[in-house]
Amino acid sequence: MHIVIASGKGGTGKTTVAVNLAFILSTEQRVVLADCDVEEPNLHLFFQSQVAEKDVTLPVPDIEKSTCILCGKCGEFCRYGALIVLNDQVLQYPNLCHSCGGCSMVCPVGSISERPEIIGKIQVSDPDPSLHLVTGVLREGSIHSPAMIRAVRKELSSDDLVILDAPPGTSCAAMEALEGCDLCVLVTEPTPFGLHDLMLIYQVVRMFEIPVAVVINRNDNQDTGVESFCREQSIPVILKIPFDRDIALKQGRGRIISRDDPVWREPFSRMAMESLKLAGA
Amino acid sequence: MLQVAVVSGKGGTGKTVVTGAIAARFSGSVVMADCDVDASNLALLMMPDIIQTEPFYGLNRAVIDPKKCVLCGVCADNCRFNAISVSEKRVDVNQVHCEGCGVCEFICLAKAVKLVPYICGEVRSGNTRFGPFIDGKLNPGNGNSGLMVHTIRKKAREISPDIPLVLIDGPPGIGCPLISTVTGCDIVLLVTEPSSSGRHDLERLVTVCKSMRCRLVMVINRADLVPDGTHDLRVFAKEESIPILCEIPVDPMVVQATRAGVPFSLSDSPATRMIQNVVEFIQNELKEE
Amino acid sequence: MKLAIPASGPTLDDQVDNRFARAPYIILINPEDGETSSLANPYAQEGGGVGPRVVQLLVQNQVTHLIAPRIGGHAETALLATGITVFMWEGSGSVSSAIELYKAGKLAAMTQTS
Ligand code: SF4
Ligand code: SF4
Ligand code: SF4
Ligand code: SF4
Repeated sequence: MHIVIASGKGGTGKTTVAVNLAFILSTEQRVVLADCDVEEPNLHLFFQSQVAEKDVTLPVPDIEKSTCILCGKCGEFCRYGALIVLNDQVLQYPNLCHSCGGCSMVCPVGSISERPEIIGKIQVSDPDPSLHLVTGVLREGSIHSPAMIRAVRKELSSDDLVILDAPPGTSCAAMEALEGCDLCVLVTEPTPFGLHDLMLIYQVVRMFEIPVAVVINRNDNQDTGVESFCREQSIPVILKIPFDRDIALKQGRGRIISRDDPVWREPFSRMAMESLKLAGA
Repeated sequence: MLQVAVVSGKGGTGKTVVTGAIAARFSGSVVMADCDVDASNLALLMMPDIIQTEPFYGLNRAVIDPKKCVLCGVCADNCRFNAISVSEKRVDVNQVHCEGCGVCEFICLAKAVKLVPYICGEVRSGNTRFGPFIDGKLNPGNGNSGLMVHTIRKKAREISPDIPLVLIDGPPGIGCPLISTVTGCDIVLLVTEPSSSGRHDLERLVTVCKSMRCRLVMVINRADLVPDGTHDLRVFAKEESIPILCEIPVDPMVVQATRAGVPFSLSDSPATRMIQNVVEFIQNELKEE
Repeated sequence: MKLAIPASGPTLDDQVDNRFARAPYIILINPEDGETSSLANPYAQEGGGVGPRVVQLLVQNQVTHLIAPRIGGHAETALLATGITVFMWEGSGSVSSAIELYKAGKLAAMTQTS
């Protein structure tokens, strides 16, 4: 069962929800927590322990200079400017390459083969016997967030209970993290901006036909828009986290509030139960 | 023409609210451009009357002509993005997964595939009670926001060339859209917040802006929320020689005004008095132009 | 020699475009005999990686010199690899005014290190 935590934009408290949900569930059963926010992974800050790493690669062209006749075909083909043919050489930009394989197909003399290019790494750790953490870390400057997220998801078994932290927004990368999940928990703020971003991402989730629940963060009980939107769309609001300096402070210091603050244990437990139910457990 | 970009590194620092508050104080002499194209929120504050909406084209997409296609499936076998599905009756290209690489077009012997421009969003322009307004919206799952930012900025410069100030609400992050936003701006205003999680993003943002030779100034938002955090930001700003124009306290007025869909600087409050410093700074720059 | 200038339109009276790879036109000039032609930039509206592709286009058109505004990192390395001499363009003006400045030796050449 896969539960994905997402938000229409960054800074809504998505991390808080993922961290606490995973922690609470792990007190009862084995949980896999997958950080798919590969451009800025930060779940590991809350669960520090020894990590094992492996590289993630994509195939990029490898050109055999001795046989290349500088015909220009590969450079004309490549839509992404990842290789260009100059007067005396073929110049490559592996970080622009989308690994489509087209250049090796068009080369008339078979000078192009493929080699693996590192786009990032996957880190795995077991901060607790019942909590397994998988983190995707995109290499700085790489454009391959979607491929990186696919690699993280390959590590996950559909038999496990998995909490995924999706990248914010409605980019292709966010869609990679959402597709095929059993429940999507959307984290938002009770402001017009929060509502607007929520509506955008809700559209996307609907497209994938995934059940949705909402968590309202920085709640001050004055909201009108977000809650009425949820009512209209019959989206359950499974948790409201108040606007509270103390929470902001603890969260900023890498603390897990549902573990360190008894007051918070109960609401997060209820949210966890609710999530499992909505995901069809 | 003075171009000022408001940026923040990570999301959620109140960048848009600050942009709106500044814009409201330059009523009649400002063009607003929302370059945060993945979550364009400035319109919710400025309430523009949209006059024109234009389609925005991104990467090409493959389209298959069913009259020519012989259903051989070779294209699907060679598409590395799993974007093509073949059934007994038809071949479909998934528009979300297709990256427009052109492999299918090359490989299809029946010449049934064409790459065509694909509308991946729209650019809108209109008027607010404070001045002209431009923004853009990408459809979900589409990249290419850098090019869209470029399009929006170009429109902003051209829509009323006599207006002295272009105020840009920038995107989060430090990627291509951010670079397109700050390139050629006269001033980049960093809106920061004293929580530790945004610090790393801020450092990377400053590095990028400096490498683009941008002039940086800073505003600390919700400055009284985490006092040590604010102190750290002051030290950081000093090390980087970035002037801090003001520190905005947590102010219920800001939340209320935002909720009502109006810029908070239209009524008096502690936050408004702070924004005044930014307003005066920009006024001085305009005088020097 | 052949000099290339990115421009907002196809004539010498059009403005030098402030972006290299996304300029709608590229004007080609032979300063010795004054012969000029223009090239519609096929990549002006394309997605990513346009910098290197425009450099490839310059090479295909035997360009040896280029007057251009701020150039992106990818295009810059590509230009260095071609040996095309690049002159920095700051400010604004028409293509013909840029040619005048070039002829008067008033434009600074970009060096390897900058
Ligand atoms: S594999 Fe595709 S994207 Fe990469 S260089 Fe070759 S043609 Fe370009
Ligand atoms: S297509 Fe092959 S032969 Fe032609 S330039 Fe590219 S690598 Fe060289
Ligand atoms: S390769 Fe061409 S003919 Fe074959 S299935 Fe694809 S589109 Fe149809
Ligand atoms: S253009 Fe490329 S990505 Fe799109 S369907 Fe064809 S082969 Fe697949």
